[in-house]
Amino acid sequence: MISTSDAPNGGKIIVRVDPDLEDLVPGFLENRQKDIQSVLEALTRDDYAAIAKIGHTMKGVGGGYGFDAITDIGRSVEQAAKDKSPAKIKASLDALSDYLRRIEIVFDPD
Amino acid sequence: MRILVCEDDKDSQKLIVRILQKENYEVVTADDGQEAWQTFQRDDFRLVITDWVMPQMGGVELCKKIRAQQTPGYVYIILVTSKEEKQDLVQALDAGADDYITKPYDKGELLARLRSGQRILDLEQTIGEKNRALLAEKEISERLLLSIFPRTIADRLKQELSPIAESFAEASVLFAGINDFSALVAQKTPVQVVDLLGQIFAAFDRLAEQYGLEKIKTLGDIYMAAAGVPVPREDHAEAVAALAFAMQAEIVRFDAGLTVPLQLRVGLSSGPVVAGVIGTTKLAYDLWGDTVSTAAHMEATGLAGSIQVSAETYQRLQKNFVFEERGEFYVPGKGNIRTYLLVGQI
Repeated sequence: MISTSDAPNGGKIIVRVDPDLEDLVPGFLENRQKDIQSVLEALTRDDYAAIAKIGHTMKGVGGGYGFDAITDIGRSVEQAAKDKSPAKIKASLDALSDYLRRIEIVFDPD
Repeated sequence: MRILVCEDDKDSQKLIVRILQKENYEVVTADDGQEAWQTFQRDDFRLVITDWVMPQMGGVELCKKIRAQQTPGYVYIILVTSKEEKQDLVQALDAGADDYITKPYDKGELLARLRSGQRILDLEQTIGEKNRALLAEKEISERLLLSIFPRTIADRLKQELSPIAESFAEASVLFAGINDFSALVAQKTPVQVVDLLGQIFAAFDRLAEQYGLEKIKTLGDIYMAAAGVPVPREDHAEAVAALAFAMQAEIVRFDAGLTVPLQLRVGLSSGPVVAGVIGTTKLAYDLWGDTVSTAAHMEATGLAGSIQVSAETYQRLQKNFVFEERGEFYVPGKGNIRTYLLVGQI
């Protein structure tokens, strides 16, 4: 859940995550950083199918860990790949990179 | 309960495994549909959660393979996917999935749908147990039915109620009575008499089955059997002769606590009979006709320890068996009839 009061100013984005997933979160976030690299590499090859698959996976997994924004960005990446739009893809990657930089995780059972 | 989880994305796989293990499910994972299929075939899984889009084999194909396979019990399949269109849902359910969850899923929803699946599996198990109990009851009923009727007659009675009547041109009938039975009854208690008769008739039942004859009924101390009904056989006369000899040998083995061993009077006759079931209650398979009454008369007028046969049976057996001519007897309704004693086989 994005704390919208912080989002527009570039400040911290508080994300509340289930404490049962605490040990899995670092690996999950690291893989999202790798996704950014993988999409950029796929763009150099015009491999939109690969980009769509990464976006599709991101869409499916983000919200499950508590990172709804990653689901939204994944959806954007998948659609942008289907549209074969490098500009939209890069915009989504920028959003993801910014998001990953700004998130602050609170492990909260609620 | 064990769950097979099929998911190619490692983060998604870890998430679902964590959720399930926290609820004490035992989880086995597969990284794609092909691996899941191989794992499924090796072991017994009743719950499967699978992703849709995977390398090697997708979730829909996995569903189809599982449904096509004969499994010991029902397999509940949940498809978990980011595909969101209505036609995707239709395709998944038509492929055999029982439920469909869209990613990203809510943990509570996933667990609730799993519990729903477990209820169905529990219901299937209950139904299975009840079916097994019903089958056991049916087998008992079937055995009871077959203890009363020949199989062919029992099968017909299941389709149609009596009357059932068939004519047989050629059959042989045996009557056997315990000689001096009234004296036996006088010396024993009713329970002892019934117990002894029960043992004797049980032995005769085994012999009748051994020689392929049909036990028809008992009446007091009289045992009635027939060959050639309900299934015709050419050697019906030989069959009743063989049973008669076996019964004579068997009866002397019983210790009735008397001064003399038990003996039988056995009567045989051959010819046409009508066989079937009549009435609507307390049904029984019985025989009618002159052949039957003649066989009964052969027994009633027979000698202890002997096998008396009618002329009709004698004609059918004279080439291969040894007889003594007994003489003629007057039978009401038939006049004088010639009878023979069957003493051995050539």
